[in-house]
Amino acid sequence: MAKTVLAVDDSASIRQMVAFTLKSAGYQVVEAVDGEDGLAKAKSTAVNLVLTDQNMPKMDGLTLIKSLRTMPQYKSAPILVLTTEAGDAMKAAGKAAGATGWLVKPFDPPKLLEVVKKVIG
Amino acid sequence: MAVDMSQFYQVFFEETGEHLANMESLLLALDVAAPTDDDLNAIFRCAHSIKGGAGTFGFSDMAEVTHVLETLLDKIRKHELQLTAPMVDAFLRAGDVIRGQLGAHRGEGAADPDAATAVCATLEQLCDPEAQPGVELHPTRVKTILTICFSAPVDESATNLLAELGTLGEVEVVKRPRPRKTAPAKAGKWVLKLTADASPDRVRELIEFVAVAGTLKIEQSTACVPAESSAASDGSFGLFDSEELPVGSLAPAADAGGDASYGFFTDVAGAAEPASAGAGDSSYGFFTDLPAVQSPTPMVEAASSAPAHPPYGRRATDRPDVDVGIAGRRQTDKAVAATNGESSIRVSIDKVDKLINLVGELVITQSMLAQTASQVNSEAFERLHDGLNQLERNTRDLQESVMSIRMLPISFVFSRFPRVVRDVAGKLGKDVELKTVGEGTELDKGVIEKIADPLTHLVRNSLDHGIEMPEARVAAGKPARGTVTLRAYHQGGNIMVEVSDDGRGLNRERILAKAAERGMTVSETMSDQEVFKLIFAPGFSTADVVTDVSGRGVGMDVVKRNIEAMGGGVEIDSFPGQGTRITIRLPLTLAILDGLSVRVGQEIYIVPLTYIVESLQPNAQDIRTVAGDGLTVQVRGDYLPVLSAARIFNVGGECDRFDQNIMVIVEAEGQRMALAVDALVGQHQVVIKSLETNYRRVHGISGATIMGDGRVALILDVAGLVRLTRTRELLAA
Repeated sequence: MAKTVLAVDDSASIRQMVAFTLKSAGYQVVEAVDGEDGLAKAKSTAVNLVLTDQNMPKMDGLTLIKSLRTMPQYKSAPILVLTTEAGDAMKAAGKAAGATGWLVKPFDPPKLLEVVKKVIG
Repeated sequence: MAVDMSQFYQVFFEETGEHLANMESLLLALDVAAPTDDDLNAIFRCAHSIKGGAGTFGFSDMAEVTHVLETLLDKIRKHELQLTAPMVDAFLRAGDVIRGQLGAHRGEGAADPDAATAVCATLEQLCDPEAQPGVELHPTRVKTILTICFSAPVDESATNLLAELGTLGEVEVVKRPRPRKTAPAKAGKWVLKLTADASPDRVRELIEFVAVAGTLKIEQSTACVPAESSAASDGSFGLFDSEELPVGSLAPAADAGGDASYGFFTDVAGAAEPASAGAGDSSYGFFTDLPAVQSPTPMVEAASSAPAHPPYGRRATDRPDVDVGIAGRRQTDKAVAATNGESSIRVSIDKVDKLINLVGELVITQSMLAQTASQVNSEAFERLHDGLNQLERNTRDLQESVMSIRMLPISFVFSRFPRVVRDVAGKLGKDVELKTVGEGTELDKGVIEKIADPLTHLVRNSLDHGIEMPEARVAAGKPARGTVTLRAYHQGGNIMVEVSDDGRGLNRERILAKAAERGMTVSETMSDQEVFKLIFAPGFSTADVVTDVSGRGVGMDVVKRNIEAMGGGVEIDSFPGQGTRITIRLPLTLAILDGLSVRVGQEIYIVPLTYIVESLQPNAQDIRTVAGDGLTVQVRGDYLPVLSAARIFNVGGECDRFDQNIMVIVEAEGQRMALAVDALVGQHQVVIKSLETNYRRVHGISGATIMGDGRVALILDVAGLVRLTRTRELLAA
């Protein structure tokens, strides 16, 4: 059974790229346009991995992660934050929010796939 | 895996265009003295999103500019720097530069690298006022891969060059000339690959010292670090390691061994290997031991105490929950437009047009059936009639909803004007406020695209020639700040767009004088309306007439012609000292036209209603022959040239005695003419079909349509016919 990835990003082009890449590799992809939408989709769909952008309108990535972590089904699910910053401050914030890891933007499809495979196989 | 990134470009382009427009309108609406955090964050996010996409899809020039832009915006939104007016100016200019770059990538025009460099330097200067301007160009984090080809000898200077390039980034020698014993100093071909933050110009400078003149070629391939090299040594991901919760001791990069571009905070969901698996790559990472939520983070407290509550709100105990709620709602209000966008899909305009075309055909089929059915016994075929009635209703509804797909709010055009007004008013030293009314009024996309230029022209004219300088306004007892108003509303089956100003108004005497000077027939008894219409005459520069400011106020004739070409019209109202209002009447759509069908011999032609002044049957004595076979008809004292449709289209009218014809008086480009036809048939809404795409361009015909009975009728190009009579007159004279 194909694993499902929730891709949360306010940029349609990035979303499209992520979705295309992962679908081509046999994953199922659910897209969300911001943190709020991500939270709603995560509630309605069982997701194996969450990839979320950090800077989004309505609800940012870290807030989304924190909210997800309060839900029993996402207490330990892998969540990666996609960020343009890779400074220690960002990493600390990511970790504090409960993220599983980070991926620096810009990334290309092979890198994305490499990382996703590492997390959910 | 190879993914063709170009398939995502279109979405990126559209999205970036939206971000740019959004950023601009936010900037223009921004209160420089007291910007709200919401606005600053929204502006930052626009720049941020553009940068992210540009980096991902390899548009490094855009990524560079947005990076500098974002850096400054970030400082402002974090209140490290105070927002100033020059900053807003610089942001707007940066937006222009990025728009130019975007256009270039889309294949529309070329980007201006100098402007980009200049705006980056300005932004950096603003970002760090103490720094020397232009010393070093922004350290962008976006990696660029430069493929460098040149000819140079293999000697010490080449070694030095490689060392120097090495300080900029990672150098890979793809090809180097084989040293020859016979001629060691002979130049050979080098191919280098440089992965660095450096701009091509900087690299060029370095290499030009060494390379044989004219042989240097630098290609910028992509901003993305390719997988094979990234695995070796970049920092784009990472995993966080276990136990090491104290922030200071995060050591994912070390675990990932050199690549920090990703990371994990360790022990991911069973499937993952520990962080060390990311060996050699820290562009991502994992934080270890994730399920260990027992870690004493504030978030966990929130989780246990109020699981349903967003932890963010809980943690901010110094901030009442209510505040968060309000802030959230305000943001929601602002994001209404964005929300609407979310529940929409992007469809290619071709698909929509095809749909519209099909519905057009359906409308025709439906009216064919209705016409046929009207001839059968309605009692016997009652059900058929009912069905046809229903079909008619459904078809009409369907047509309306399909047409509405192409409709866009006029705010798409209006939104560009705050910027235009700001720039032009600033240049002229005037203080002008722009008001827009009725932005939600919807118009066909085609009309929207075509109306932008004429409107810009009119707004510029208002600013340049209408609105007075602040001192003059105060002297005239008006507020120093002038107002230009853009208003859109429905009237009948048309959309009206008004450009009005509270400036000095048009000067009747000077227009008359100027017109007389140009040899136009004018008289003192002409109505104001007629006088004002003179400014639409070709070559009549309003700049000469209304003000002494010259240069920009030309081309009102072009404005009028463009609007008429869409089947619209222009009117002017003006009161001295009070202002001028220009009203543009536009059809709702370009796909449907209100027309009068006329018969010439056996043929039916459509005359667009917008051009028709009146129709009449002339008396024999009103028709005069002039100069050869030219004819004129006298209509209430005016002699109008007569154009026989039968002769023009060579279809053989019923008779050549024009006093038994019907004359349709049409007006285009300021000139009236009588079109002689055999009969008026009726008024219809017709669906326009292009003749050019299906056949070829025919003079005097602007298109074709299919009538209710299935016959094809040609739509007359009235403006073209008027031009034709004008050239004839010239030839005759």
